[in-house]
Amino acid sequence: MRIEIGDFIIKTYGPNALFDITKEISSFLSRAKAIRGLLLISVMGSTGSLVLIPPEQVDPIKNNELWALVPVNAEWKHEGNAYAHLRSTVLGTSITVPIRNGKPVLGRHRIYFIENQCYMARERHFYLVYIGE
Amino acid sequence: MTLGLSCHEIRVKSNGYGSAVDVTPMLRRCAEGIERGLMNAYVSEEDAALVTIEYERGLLEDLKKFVEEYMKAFRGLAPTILGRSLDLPIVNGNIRLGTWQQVVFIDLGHRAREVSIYVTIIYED
Repeated sequence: MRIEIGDFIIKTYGPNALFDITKEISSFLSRAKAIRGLLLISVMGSTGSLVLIPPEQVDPIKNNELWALVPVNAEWKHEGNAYAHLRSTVLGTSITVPIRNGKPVLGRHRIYFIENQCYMARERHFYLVYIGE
Repeated sequence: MTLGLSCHEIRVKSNGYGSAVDVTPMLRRCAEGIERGLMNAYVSEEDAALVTIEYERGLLEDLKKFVEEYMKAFRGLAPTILGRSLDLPIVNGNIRLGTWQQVVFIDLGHRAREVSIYVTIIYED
């Protein structure tokens, strides 16, 4: 048993954009020679979210569900981007998944980062912690 | 290479409903000296949550408003939806969070009390 740490950065734009980070995670697992265990994926910051969803959910989430989850304008007290913070808090910024045969057990799902912020070319930093064989 | 286990119980004083306590400094202390590991922090109260959020007064009031107005139809599920546990990476003696990201205990119950946050760390020895 051992622990391997990894990190990577992606450039995002937003708001309401989903970025598939499954490939970055798979390449970390192969570099780490992971076989079976547990992987924590954690994104730094308080305005993004991590979700595990099938690809066909991307559009409904982007176009409708995020707006319905936390509206942008609701006389929030926190200036400017309260909606992005609240989405981040509700959806979460970390996911822990089982690893089998060197791969995350995802079925048809993929791991997406949601950029809630209204930005261009924003850098988002992820940490990975693998515990296993 | 072996793995070690480190367990802590953090006591948090809460004034009841709406109390928000930044527990990040306590979690950071638990991670001191650990080069690489995974921390799980868990609150066992059924009417409380442990979340990541920027610890800022206006935003904490917004979260309260969100629970009261937007989760009105499912208030009983609020602790479950917000979450009662978190996994955090530990790298070079510190938990990794963004600059404006704290781990915050949110009380959704109705009485002042002291609660426990259970911290479990798996680390490389």
